[in-house]
Amino acid sequence: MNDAGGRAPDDLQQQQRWLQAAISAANPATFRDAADRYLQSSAALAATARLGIYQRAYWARLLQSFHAIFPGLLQALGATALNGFAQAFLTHSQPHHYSINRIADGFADYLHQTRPGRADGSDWAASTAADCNEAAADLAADAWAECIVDLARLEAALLQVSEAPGLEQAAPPRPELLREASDAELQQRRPCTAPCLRLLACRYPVHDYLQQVRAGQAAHLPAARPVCLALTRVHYRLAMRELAPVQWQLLLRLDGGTPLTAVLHAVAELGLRPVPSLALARIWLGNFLAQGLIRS
Amino acid sequence: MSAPRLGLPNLGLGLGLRSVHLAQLLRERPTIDWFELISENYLDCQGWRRHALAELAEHYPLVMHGVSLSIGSCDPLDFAYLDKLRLLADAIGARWVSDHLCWTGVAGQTTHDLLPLPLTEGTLHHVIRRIRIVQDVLQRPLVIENPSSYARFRADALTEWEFLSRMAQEADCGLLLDVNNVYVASVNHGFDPRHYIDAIPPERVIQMHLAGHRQFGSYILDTHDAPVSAAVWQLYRYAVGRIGSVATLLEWDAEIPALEVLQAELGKARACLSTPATAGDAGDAPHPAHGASPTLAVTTLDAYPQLAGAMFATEP
Repeated sequence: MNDAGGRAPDDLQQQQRWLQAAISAANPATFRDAADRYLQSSAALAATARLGIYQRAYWARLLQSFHAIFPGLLQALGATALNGFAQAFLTHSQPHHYSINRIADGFADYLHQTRPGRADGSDWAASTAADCNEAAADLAADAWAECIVDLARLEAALLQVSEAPGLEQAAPPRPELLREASDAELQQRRPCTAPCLRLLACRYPVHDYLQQVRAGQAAHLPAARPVCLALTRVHYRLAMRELAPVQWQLLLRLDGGTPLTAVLHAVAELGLRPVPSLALARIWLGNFLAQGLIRS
Repeated sequence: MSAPRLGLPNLGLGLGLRSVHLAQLLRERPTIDWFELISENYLDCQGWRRHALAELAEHYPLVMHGVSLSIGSCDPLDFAYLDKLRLLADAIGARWVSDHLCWTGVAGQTTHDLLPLPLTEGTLHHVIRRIRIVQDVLQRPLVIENPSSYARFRADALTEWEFLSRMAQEADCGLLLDVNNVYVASVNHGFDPRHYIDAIPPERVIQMHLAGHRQFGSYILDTHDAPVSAAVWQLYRYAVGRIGSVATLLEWDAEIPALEVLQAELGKARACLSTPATAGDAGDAPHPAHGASPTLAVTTLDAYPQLAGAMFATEP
């Protein structure tokens, strides 16, 4: 059945399913034999050639979109390897959303699930660090894979930050209100993160790598160093900030409903240093506000 | 300016709104009659592009041009998507909403491509019914564009111009006549493009599109990455002579040049409007290829993800 009780013609459905399968197949050649059954040929162009135009266009558009979303991965992997990963992902997880901005939803998780050492890590078999980028040759294969996954997560999150609601239309932040609040008042506050904030814990400082790529500098995949990142947007510009783990954990818990005193208690239980006192929180929240990480 | 058609005005000569030009447009507000935006680039965006769009809406008429309506698909219409279209149209005062005679996906999948429909009586009734529903939801006329096409189905029983004409009349919708697409299809399928234009009901044509294409041996790709070809300019003059002057828009989606180059192309359109052809010759050779790869995407949209245009705080 179709919308409003109508029914699409059966033959239309059959033809659409065939054409979609034919253009999006990982191996489009397998569908070319059937092209003559569905499509017209002319003296100038056979049905298989006509189908081939749509097949090439499908993959070209989607792969170019991956290049646009993941400039860092493109630099780190090279176009051939990124295309290989993207094609494997898109074959495994076909696009469903009307916006092409959402085409890579789940890509980082897919890379993580199929990384070397996993039973289903075959996608990585043909793409080792040394194959992809000499800058990555210093990393062992498993470390390289972890770094690539981190970079994919970062770039996907940045796309979300760029599109999400932000604080640009909100009243200007007033950190002095936090500084001037009494201890009792501050403890009962329920701070909330900015709607465009994304928090990311990475095993590699891939944000430094991405900044180098965007600046057109010679970029080398970094050595392992765990980083806690806060990604946000201020005046429509993206910002990546590295935070102390305790600050990052604090931000993670600012849901707009939990009083600050309870948040501080929960963070303190993690045993991180420095211990998140109310005095420190007062300073940190003021900074978070000025940096567009939380809302007024 | 000609009289309104379906209550929709002739907006004059406009440009496809592209992210690379947004900052300049806001800064300089050049004299351009109107802009057409790709709807999907703004539906879910609350960042810079949406902000810029709201600013532009205060100074220019805007038209929404979609690529994901999938009016011919066998999948149910996406009412959440339609609601977003309506909200955006209301927010920016869109003069009208358009999309393509095509389908983009089925069985829950989307291809992000504008795929051809089998042109049969069954498809025609299917599309007409869905256009009526969409117009009810959007609470405004829908304007449907003829797509560029590279394949026809064996099942076809109607020509594209017959299909479009009957669709427009029976669904009571508008038509967006993409002159470049007519030319591309005429070469790829071997028909006289003037015959196509002669058959379209003029009173239904709300808007025309112009764009560049590239030739690859025996076929043409609608690449939107080059100037409008001489053959398409001739056909445009013919269309204006046959249909009259309507809102006309230049699309340029890849290898996008400076705004001034696009404005110069609009100047050529202006010249055509002042010298419409009554029996023009649309049979010239198409614009030659410029060494582009035949694996180039068939680009009809500025719908690539937008992060590449995003600015980082550390950048100038």
